[in-house]
Amino acid sequence: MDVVLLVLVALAGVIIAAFSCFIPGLHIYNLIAIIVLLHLSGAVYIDPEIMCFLFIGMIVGYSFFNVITSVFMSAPDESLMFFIFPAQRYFLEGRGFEASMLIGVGSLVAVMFLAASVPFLPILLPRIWELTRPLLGWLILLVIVFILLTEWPRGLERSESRWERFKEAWSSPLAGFLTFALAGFFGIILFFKPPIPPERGFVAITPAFIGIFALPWAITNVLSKFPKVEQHITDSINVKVHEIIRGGGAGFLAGMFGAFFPAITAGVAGFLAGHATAQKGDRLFIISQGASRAIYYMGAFLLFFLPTMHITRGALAWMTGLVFTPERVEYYYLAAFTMLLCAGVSFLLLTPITKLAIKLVHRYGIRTLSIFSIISCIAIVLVLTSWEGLLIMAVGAVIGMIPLLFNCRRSNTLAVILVPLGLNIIGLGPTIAELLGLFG
Amino acid sequence: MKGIVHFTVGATIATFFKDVMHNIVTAASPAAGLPLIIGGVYGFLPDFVDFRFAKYMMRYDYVIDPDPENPDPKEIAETIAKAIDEAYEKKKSIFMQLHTIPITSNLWRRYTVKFDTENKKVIVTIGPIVTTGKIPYEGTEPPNNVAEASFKADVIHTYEEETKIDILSGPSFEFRPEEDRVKIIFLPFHRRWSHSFPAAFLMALPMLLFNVNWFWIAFLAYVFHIILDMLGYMGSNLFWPFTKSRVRGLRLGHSDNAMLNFSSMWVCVALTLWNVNEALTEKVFSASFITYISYTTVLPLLIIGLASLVVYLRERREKETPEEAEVKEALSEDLGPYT
Amino acid sequence: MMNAANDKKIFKEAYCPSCGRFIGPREKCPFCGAEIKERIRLKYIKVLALVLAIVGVFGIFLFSKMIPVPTVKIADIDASYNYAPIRVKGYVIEYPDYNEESESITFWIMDETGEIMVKAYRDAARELIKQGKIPGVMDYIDCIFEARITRGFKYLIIEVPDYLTIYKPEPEQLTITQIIENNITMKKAIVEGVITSVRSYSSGYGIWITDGEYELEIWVPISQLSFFSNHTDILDRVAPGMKVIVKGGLKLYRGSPEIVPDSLLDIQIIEE
Repeated sequence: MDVVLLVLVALAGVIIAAFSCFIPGLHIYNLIAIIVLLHLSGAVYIDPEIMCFLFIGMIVGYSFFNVITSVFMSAPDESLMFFIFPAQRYFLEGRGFEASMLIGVGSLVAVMFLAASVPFLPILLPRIWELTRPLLGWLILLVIVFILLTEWPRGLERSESRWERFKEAWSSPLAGFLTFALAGFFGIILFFKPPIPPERGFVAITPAFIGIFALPWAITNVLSKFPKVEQHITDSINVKVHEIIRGGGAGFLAGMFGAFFPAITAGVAGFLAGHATAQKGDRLFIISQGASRAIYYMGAFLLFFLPTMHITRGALAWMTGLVFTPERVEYYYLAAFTMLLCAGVSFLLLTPITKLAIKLVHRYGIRTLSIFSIISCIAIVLVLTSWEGLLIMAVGAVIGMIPLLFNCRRSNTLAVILVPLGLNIIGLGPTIAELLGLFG
Repeated sequence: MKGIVHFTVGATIATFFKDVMHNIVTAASPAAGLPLIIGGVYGFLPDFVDFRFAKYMMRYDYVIDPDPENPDPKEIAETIAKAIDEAYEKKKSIFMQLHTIPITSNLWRRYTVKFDTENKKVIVTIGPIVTTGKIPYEGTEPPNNVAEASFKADVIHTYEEETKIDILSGPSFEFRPEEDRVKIIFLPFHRRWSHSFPAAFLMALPMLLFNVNWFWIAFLAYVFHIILDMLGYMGSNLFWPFTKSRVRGLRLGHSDNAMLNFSSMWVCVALTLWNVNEALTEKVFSASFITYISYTTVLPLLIIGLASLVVYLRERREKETPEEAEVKEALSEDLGPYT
Repeated sequence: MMNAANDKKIFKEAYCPSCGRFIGPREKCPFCGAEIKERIRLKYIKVLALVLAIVGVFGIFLFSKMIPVPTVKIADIDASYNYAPIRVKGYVIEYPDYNEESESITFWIMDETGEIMVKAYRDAARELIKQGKIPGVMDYIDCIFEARITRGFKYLIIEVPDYLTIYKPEPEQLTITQIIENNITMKKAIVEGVITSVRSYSSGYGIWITDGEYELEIWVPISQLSFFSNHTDILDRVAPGMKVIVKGGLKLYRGSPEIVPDSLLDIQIIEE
C-alpha cells in the first residue's frame, strides 16, 4: 500500500471527473464501467488497488462537478431531478454561478459531517442494519407509496363544473401514476431478464438510466428555445452560515440514508429530507440537495471499505467489488481521508470549472451541447452494452419524456429501480418474474 | 405538520402492534409489512382527502377570474366587498374562489388582496408579472393598478398581511356570518369534516373487513394526524357532523417549523427501531426504554434544539398574528412545487 | 429582478404571431384564428409519447420473453456477468448443504470447464425442499440462475426453483472392491455391503460397509435430516452386521471414494 501513490491517483481521478462533466449525460458510473470492462476483458491491466483509489477521486469529483452539467446544460442524472428546477431558475436569472457555488458549499459541509462520522460508522451501522433489515423491503414500499401520495394535482382549475375541475386537476397526477407503472414494469423486465448479452449483465440497467434521466432533458433542450442569459460571476453568495449548516446537515442525513439503504437513491433521499426538515426556499433546497447527492455517492462508496460490515451499496461499490476487496481496516480510514482531500480539491476547482462551463455555454449554446450530449449517450450505451441497449435507452427516453410533457413529477420514473428492488427484497420478485413468463 | 411526518407517524403506530412486528421479523408472509403501509396511508389521509378531493368539490358563489390582458382591480375589489355584504345581509355563508392570472405557461400576473378591517375596505393591487418561481419582472405593473371597495359589515379575524395570488391555483374564501359580523375563513374546504374523529372511525371501518389490527392501526394513524394538527394554529372541526366550525388549535408551534418536523421524524425512527428490537429474539441492544430514548433521542434533539434556539434568537421572526399563522399553516399543507 | 422592458422575447409566446394580440397560453388565436405555429402542438406530442412509451415497454417485454436465456460454460462466467440471468448445465459434485439460520441451500456443480457454487435462499430454498428438488451427487442439473460476483467470488443463485431440472443418471451396479481398486468416483452407483460401523459427526453420519475385502463409507450429510425429515428413522435402525444396499453418487473424500445417497430413502436394509 503506497499511500502517496494512492492519494495522487485519487487526485488524478478528480481531474478526470472534471473533464467528464463537460460531456452532458455522461454519468461517472458509465466511465467507471468502461474502465472495469477494459480491465476484465484483459485489454488494459490496471492494478486493482490503484483502480479503487482512482474511482474514489472520480466519484468525489463527480459529486461536485456534475452540478455544472445540470445547472448549465440541463442534463441531470436522477439524483438531480428534485433540485434542477430551482437551480435552473437561478440559471435563467443569471445566477447560475451562485447556484453552482451553493451546491458546492452544501457538498463540502456534508463531507465535513461525513468525516466527523467516520469513527462512529463501524460501531453504529452494523446495529442499525440488524434492526432495519427485517423492514428493508417495506421501507422501499413505504417510499414508493409516499411518492405516489404526494403527487399533486396541477391545473388552472378554471372549469365551472366541479367534475371538470377535478378531471383537469387529476390529469397530471394520473400521468404520474402511469409513468410510475410503466417505469416499474420496465424495471422488472430489466432486473430479471434484461434483453442484453449476459456478459454485459453488470451494466444491464445503465441504458435505462441514461434513457430515463439524461436524454429527456437533452431532447427538450434541442426542441425548446433556450434563452441566452448572461451569467453573473460573483465573489460572494447570498446565504447565511446557519442555512449552510442546516442544509448541509439535512443533506448529510439524507445522503447517508440513501447510501445505506438499497434502492433509495440520492434524489429520493433528498426529497424525503426536504420534507422531513420542512425546507422552504430555493437556497436551502439547493444546498441540501447538493449535500445529499455528494454524501450519497461518497457515503455509499465509503461503506464499501467499512471494516465491521461487508456492505456493497451503489453501482460503484459493486463494480469495484468485481476487481478489488479492501481486506484491511487501514483502507477504510485511508479512503475516508482521501475523500476529504479530494472534496477540498474539488471545491477549489469548482470555481474555474464553473467559469469554463459558462464560457462554453455562452459560446456554443445549450442546444449544441445537448445534441453533443445525445450523441455521447448513444455512444456510451453502444460501447457498454449493444444495440439492444440502445433499444432499452430509447424506451427509457420516451418514459422519461412523459413527466416533462404532462407536467407531473419526474420522481415517478424512479420506479424503474424502486419497484423491482422492493419486490425482490420482500421475496415477491421471482414470483412476479415467473408469472410474467420472463424466463420462457 | 408536513405530510411526511404524518405518514411516518402512521407507519410508526403500526410498529407498536406486537403481532405485526412478529410477522415482519419472521417474514411470516409476503404481506407481513402491509400494516406499515396502511398506517402510513391513513396518517396521510386527512390532508390527501382535503387537497386532492374536497378542494375540487367546492361550490362557489363567486369566482374571480381576472382578464389576463386587462385585469381590473376595481371589479375584483367590488366583487369581494359585495360577497362580504351578501353574507352579512342574507345571513348565509358565501364562498369565493380567486383565480390566478396566467400570462404564458411559465409567467403569471400577481395581484394582492388586503382586508382593511378598521376602515372596512378591500384593497386590490395588480402587481408585476412573475415567474413560476415567484421572481417578479421589474416595471411590468400596469398603470392604475390599485383599487378599493367598501363593505358595510364588520369583519372579524382578518389578516394584516396581503394575500398574494400569483402562481398555479388561487385561494378560496368563505365569508361566514357570525352574530353581527362576518368571519373570513381561508381555504374553507380544509380541516372540516376530514379532520374529525367520526371521520377517522368511518375511514378506518373498511379495514375491519380484513383484520381488526388493521382497523386499529388505520384509526389511530388518522387520529394522530388530527391530534398533531391541533398543536398548530388552524385547528380542526373535531366532532363533525355534530359541530360545524373548526376548533382553534393549541398554537404550540407552526406546522412548517423545521425543528418540530425533524424532531417528530427522529422520534418516530427511534421508536420504530425500539419496537423492532423488542420483536427480535436476538436483541441488538439491551437497554431500558428510558436509557434508550435518552441517548438516541433526548440528547441529540436537545443539542440540535439549542443550536436552533441560538439561531432563532439571533434572527427573530417578525411578530405575526394568529390569523397570519393560520394562513401560513394552511398553505404549507397544500403540497406544491418544492414546498 | 429582471427587466422585461428590454427583452420582449420572453413574452413573445404570449402574443399571436399573426395579428399581434395578446393570447396568453392559448394555441390558437381567438381573434384571427391563426394556429400558433411556433409552438409545438403539445397535445399530439403527449399522445405520441404515451403511445410510444406503452408500446415500447410492452415491446421490450415481449422481446425479453422471446430471447432464450443463454447457456454459458462455467469458465466463461466472469465479473461482467454479475446479475445476468444465465443457463448453466453441469454435474453436482458436492451434496447440498443446508443452513437453518439463513434458510439457504448450497452445493457445487461442475461442467467440462470448471466448478462453481450454487445457492438458493429463503423462499427459493423452501420451495426446493417442498418440491423435493434436492439434487444428489453426480446428478445432472439444468437451471436458469442469476450470476453473482461479490468481492471477486463468483456463484450462481437459484431464484425460481421451477426452472431447475434434475436428471438422475442410471446408476451402475458396482462392488466395493471394484470401486476401491479402480478408485471409481464421479459416477452414480448401486452398492451392497455389510455395515461394520456407524459414526455420527456434527456434519453428518458415516456408515461403513464392507464386501469382505474392502470398506466403503456411506456418507449421509446432516442436511438430509432437514430435506427428508420424515424419513430419518433409517439412521436409528442401521447397526453393524446389517446388510444394506445404497444408491448414490461416488465422490472422493481425502483421497478415498465414498458414496453419498441421494436421499435417506436410498439406503435400504436387506438383512438385519
